[in-house]
Amino acid sequence: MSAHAPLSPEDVGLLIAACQNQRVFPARTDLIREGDRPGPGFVIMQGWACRYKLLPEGTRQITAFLMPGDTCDLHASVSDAMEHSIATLTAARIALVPRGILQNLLETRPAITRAYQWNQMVNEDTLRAWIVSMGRRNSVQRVAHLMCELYVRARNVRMTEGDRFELPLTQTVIGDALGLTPIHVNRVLRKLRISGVMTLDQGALVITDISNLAAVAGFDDNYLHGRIALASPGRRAMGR
Amino acid sequence: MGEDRHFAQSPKSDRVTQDPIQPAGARPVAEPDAHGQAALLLTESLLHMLVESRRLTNAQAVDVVHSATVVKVEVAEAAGESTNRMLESLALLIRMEDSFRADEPFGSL
Repeated sequence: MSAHAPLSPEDVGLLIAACQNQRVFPARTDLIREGDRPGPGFVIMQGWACRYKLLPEGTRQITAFLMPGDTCDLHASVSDAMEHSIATLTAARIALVPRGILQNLLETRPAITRAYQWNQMVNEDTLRAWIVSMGRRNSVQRVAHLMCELYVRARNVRMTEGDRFELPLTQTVIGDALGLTPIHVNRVLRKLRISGVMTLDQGALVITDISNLAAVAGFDDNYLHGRIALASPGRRAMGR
Repeated sequence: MGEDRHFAQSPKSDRVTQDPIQPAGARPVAEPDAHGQAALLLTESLLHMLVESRRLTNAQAVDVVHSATVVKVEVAEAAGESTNRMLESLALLIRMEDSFRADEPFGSL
């Protein structure tokens, strides 16, 4: 959260203390389901998770990917029931922050409140970027845009090694996020690989030409705001 | 872990990677029959190949899938197929059609 707003050492200590209760969940485990009464807040410490909605015929729309450092449902205390579900995509270590502690931090620590508000703004802007993708980008642009976003986010939580990072998302999962079938995602990934801009294989994304990938996607990282903890290098990496 | 196992077996770049398990919380759906699933994947791959090689336009691919959707309804009704079963098939076809539509110029359909 300190990427979003400056936190004092005391604030950081309080947040670390709030995240003491951590559990490891297997892949594909619901942390909370649509309709459930909100429980503790979640902080992703390790692994990947997603927010999703299920449609009546059983298909799934993923609405966000969550990676280490991401928080979710810190705001859910104002709601009686979840309007979406959250599930792990890989084995994940999750901190469960008791609702009372969370509420107390938000009411008594202004810097944490600002960081939380910043976090919410980034989440909303990311969601807007996804709506633009789904509404106005073609399949290649959608995939390229998502890869750029995940790369920037991963880099800023130091999950990248050069131009490579572990991206354990199946083509089905990517398709469920982008409104494409797994076959279509497969064909698009093939095109991007052949064009020499990126490769997604063996659960790892290697971006070989970030400027070109960003150009293909029409990617502008401004919507990630606080997630750009290393803003200047990020913008340079995006070819600007 | 299922996911770890899946990626341990994970394949060359061009293979389709899928979730072998329904998303947690999903309504139970009948496990697809092997022939039907393979046929559907193969058909969709072929359609994409035809579009990429410009033997079909994307709009024609949309049209092909849409025709299959319409016919599916008629066949299911004629065969007395259960509504749930028909909806499962339709969901697959509609998803495929929507996916092709992503590459249509906006406002062209």
